[in-house]
Amino acid sequence: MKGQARGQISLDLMMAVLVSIIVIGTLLVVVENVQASYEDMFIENQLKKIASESAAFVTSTNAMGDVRFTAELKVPKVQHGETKQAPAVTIDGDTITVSISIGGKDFGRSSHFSKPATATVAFDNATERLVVNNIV
Amino acid sequence: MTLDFLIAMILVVFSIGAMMQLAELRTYEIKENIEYEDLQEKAEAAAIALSGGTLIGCTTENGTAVPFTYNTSVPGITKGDLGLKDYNVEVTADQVDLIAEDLGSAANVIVVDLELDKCSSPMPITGVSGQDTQTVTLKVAK
Repeated sequence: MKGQARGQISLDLMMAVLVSIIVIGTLLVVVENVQASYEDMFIENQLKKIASESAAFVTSTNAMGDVRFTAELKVPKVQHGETKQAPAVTIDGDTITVSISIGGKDFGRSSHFSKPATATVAFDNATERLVVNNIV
Repeated sequence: MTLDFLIAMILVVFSIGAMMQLAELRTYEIKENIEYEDLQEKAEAAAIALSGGTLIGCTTENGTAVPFTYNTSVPGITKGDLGLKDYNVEVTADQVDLIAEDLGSAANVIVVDLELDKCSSPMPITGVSGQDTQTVTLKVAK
């Protein structure tokens, strides 16, 4: 080959490799960001579902009317990656809030419910159950 | 750098972009499904609460609420009574709005018709005839 010694790489190849590295590096950063936001959205969706189901469960107990009853709902764990973690459940008035801290980030979702006037709603941390108790 | 290589790189970038866009669309679809399921669950729970007797039903002489009844002189109910504070709600019975809100621009609307026995409180134990019924329509939207 004229003007090019054996074993030397061409400027074209060098530039091609350089461009490939830049493109792949940029894509990796973008994909990583997108993956992180999807993971956050996945966790938020789970919390929203848990909060909504729990609130609907409490509201449904209105069907029991004014009789003495205890109704319990096992609150499901939140899945992230390959692990599952129990969320914290707090009840304030007619609002149920489900929250969790994953990887230093705090997530939380709330939902409103209605309950029979004489009923109490509490979350039992030991059994991870939402308990609606009506003692008349 | 050849033109072939440049074209190949552009195609790779475009195809990865297209794949990411599809994944994003799928995520929004999941989110939308969750919103709809949430609305459905809340509407069902509200319908159960409405037919439970304590909100719009009658009570017997000893004060016990009677399920599946509609008190013709029903006291006012609120969205909070149905656990639907965050939603647009419309409840109508006998062309009377028990809760009236504009559902116009809502993306999803769930409609539940409840057929309840008309009554007035206090009602005798044998008071439900099953003949004179009232359809109560619950519309929940978000």
